[in-house]
Amino acid sequence: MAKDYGIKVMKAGEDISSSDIRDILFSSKYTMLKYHSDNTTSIEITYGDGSGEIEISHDLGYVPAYIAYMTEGLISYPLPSYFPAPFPFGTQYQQFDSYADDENITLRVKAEPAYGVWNRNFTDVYNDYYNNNWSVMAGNNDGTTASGAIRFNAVDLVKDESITSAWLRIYVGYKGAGAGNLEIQTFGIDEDDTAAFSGSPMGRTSTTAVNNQSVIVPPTTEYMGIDVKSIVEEVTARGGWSRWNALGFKIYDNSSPNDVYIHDYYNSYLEIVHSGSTTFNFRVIIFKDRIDS
Amino acid sequence: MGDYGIKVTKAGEDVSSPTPEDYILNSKYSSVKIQAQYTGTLTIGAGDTEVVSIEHGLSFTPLVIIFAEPSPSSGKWFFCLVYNDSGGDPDSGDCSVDTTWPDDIAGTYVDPDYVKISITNHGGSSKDVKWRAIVFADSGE
Repeated sequence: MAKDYGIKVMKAGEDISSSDIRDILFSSKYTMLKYHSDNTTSIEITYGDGSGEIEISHDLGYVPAYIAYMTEGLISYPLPSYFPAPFPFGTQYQQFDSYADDENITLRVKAEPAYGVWNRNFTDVYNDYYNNNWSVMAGNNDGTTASGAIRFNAVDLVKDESITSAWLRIYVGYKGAGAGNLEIQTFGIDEDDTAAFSGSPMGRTSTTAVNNQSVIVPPTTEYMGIDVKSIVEEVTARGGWSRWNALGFKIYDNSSPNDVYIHDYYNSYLEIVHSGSTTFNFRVIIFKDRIDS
Repeated sequence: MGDYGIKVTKAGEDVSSPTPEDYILNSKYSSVKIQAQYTGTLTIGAGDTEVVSIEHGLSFTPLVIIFAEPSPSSGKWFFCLVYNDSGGDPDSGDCSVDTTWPDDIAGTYVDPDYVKISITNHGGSSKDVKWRAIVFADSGE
């Protein structure tokens, strides 16, 4: 006859012969997860980076069961977790997950766009080739010089803010068929809060900072970058600059070859990477129970 | 009325400690009991979704934790919980455990009869994905 022995402790008021497994506080019939270690760690992500990870060594030599949390003060979020917007500077989502292997528990964070990155599509454009406010254009259009301007409202920069980078991303909606580099000069509009474009803004005062660029125009549907960090810093250092003001840029042709130009109606944007970092804290409870066998 | 039960404290902690974390075992507090561990391998065609169905026989909805190795033979076992396409990297062609679904026909869930694990192969070739479900003898309802 098979022996039936062990330890069984029931909840208060429940009979030891109960057939409901939930009435048992613990029983030697059932394994329990065995604690291995309790760990805390953090991931610091420098602004401009879209992801990060960190490993916690467990020294078990096999893949263990575990539970991981992202912690914010007294709040813990079990991993994996997904957080949609809003976040500072336009990050649309961030997600956290984790995995175990035979050496480590790895915690990962991913954000899109990257942390600390602010970007915004243009609100105003001008091109002097067609003399209208429908698109931005720069270069040489079949022998005729083309210059343009672009404006962004509600810019998320405080006065004198140090930034990691600032780029104009000009979408190549159309381009000329000519050969050679696009030659352009980009200035900022040196105003505290440059007004919306109505007609030509090309006569507005230019910044001292300028970007001289000689570049092959990328294929259509791609973006061409213009480094405007020093221009942005000059404008945001103005006495009258304040957060959410508007920034404007003027892009002049600088003797581009015949029929080498860039032209966009819809998609160009300004991308600013702030200076700083963000830190996420984690807690990971590792069990001695193996999951990979 | 008597105060009786079983207490086992961590090394260095007094048995009179009022702190639950000081105990390895304390009959005052219910412990999560593993009812069973289920493991398997799903062969999933390119771009397909396969569902494993585990009949746990508990007649109530238990606590469950699920791990999977969404990138075959990587040795990386992801904890799978609450968001869509958890684990692995779908962009790289890994498989992922689908834990949110627009209806309750598919997806990963537990009910009084079954644990269902839905895994999608985002890659271009068939893959064998290992999984493990730890089912506890405690209610998750």
